[in-house]
Amino acid sequence: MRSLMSIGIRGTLATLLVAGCGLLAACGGGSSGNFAGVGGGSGGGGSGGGTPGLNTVPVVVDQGPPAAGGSTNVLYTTVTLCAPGSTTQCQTIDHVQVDTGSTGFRVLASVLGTGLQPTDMPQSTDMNGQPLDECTQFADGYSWGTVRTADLVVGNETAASLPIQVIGDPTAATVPASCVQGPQENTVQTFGANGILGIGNFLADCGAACAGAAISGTYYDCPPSGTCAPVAVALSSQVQNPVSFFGADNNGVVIDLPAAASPTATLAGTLIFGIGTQSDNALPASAGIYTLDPTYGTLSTSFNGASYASSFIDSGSNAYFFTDDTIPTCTGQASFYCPATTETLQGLIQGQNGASAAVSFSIDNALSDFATNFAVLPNLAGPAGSSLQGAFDWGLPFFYGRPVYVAFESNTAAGVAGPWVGF
Amino acid sequence: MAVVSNPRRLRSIARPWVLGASLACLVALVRPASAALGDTTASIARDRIAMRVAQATTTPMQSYDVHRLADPAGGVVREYADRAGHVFAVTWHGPRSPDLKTLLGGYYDRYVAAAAQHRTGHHVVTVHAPDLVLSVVRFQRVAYGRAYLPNRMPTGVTKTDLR
Repeated sequence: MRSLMSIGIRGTLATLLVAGCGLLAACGGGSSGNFAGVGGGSGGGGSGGGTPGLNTVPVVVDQGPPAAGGSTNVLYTTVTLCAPGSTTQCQTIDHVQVDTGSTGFRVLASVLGTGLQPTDMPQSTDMNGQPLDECTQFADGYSWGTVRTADLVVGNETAASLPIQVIGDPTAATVPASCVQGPQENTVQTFGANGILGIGNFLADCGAACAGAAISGTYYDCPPSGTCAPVAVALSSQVQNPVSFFGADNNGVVIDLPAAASPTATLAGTLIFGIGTQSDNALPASAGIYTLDPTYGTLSTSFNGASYASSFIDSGSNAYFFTDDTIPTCTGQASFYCPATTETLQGLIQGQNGASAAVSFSIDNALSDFATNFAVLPNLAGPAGSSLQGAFDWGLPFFYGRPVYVAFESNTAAGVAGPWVGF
Repeated sequence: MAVVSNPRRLRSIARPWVLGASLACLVALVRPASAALGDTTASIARDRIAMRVAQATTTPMQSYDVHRLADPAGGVVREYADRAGHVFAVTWHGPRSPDLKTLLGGYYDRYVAAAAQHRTGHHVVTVHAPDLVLSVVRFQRVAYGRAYLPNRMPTGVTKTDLR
């Protein structure tokens, strides 16, 4: 689907990556000779599939980058970022968070500089021909930086000419006041990762809203001499879901992590690209498909007799977050629950298509969890504290021991139109 | 402005015209601000915003009023005010977050401090304290949350009343 040029780049970059991929376990069996076949197959046949086994990248839950100060339940991978079309201006970046709750690749500028400089990647311009900067607002703060175009290699797949955000880019304009929301997260320490690989259900980060209007807290027109102003940005120029830019295996992802019954130092698994495009990413007959609200990306959860319409299954949340007033929060750490003993609970996840699944999960004392100093805390939970139309957030512990399929909007996977989540 | 800690501001909000301005301000928060809005002077902006107060509805309950403010994009802010006009809770839900600096007023710094702890990831921030309960949830295209002041809830009102 992508251009032939991108396929060619993909081959060379993948070869380059294999040549220097001692860090990546999945590369071990790779053969650079296969990549021409991958590109040729996808370009010629137009099918969704690449070569089996080469559509994966290792992922790990560990302490995170040293500057982050010890992460818990954060899923990371390693990527290679290159200047567009270049095989020399490249840098491998570890500890990039894998987040199904956001869309787009974002890198902290402070980790660049060994092989790739921010300015090696051309900055996007807006409809006025001015430099384009972006504000990304999370629940816990905001990140500010430039929008630039790069080639992103994840495992053996390449997203060529991908609009990304470079957070904390020293060439970015002064942060506009309307972007500021909570603490600034422009460093590895405050962001908790060297970058973020947003591979949620949406293809662009802001979507139609930003294409149709200039919205504060999103994209900004930043003339070199002057102040930034919000600006509308066409869908195709927004920061994009990297997987949708792959030449094949681009209709969704699978996150496959082993089970963890108790706190563990690390947990290694696999991020698989595509759904139903290879022998390794077919949705098993035993799994259900739960379609999402196409506007919000939400599904419903019933728990303790209440229905939470804005629920998520999110690899970017590091705990189960939900409301249960019978469970005490921790002393001095009220963002988490501290039950006296391990409790097993059950929620009912329901898609817009009516499909539902009862999910049992266990929660335990968060302070005891944290005292282990381990990164993998499978029973970590906290209050969502929200209203009835609010959240049941099935965070990363939900993914332990359960392959989770994330199908993109405007794509069909396993015969069902996205966006949907399967497990 | 919606959740106000300063008693002086609480009293002033009880005055009808100030209440109107407060509602107008909230409408500005829930609707996606346009570039034009940012470019106008404050007074013109207030006038423009004031016209949108028509989108606000007030539902009187037994011991408080619910001011519901909706915007065309689907965002809704609910402001809960007691009979003296004191706002004791706010909730929000929509494709984008309202401006928490304005919405949380004097409690904004508490949110910032909680968010800076960074143990709950990028998508959920909560505060559970005797005087403030706050949750901020934010994903790619949906934001919602609730903030209330337990010590200022009218008698008989519980958090389950705060939708």
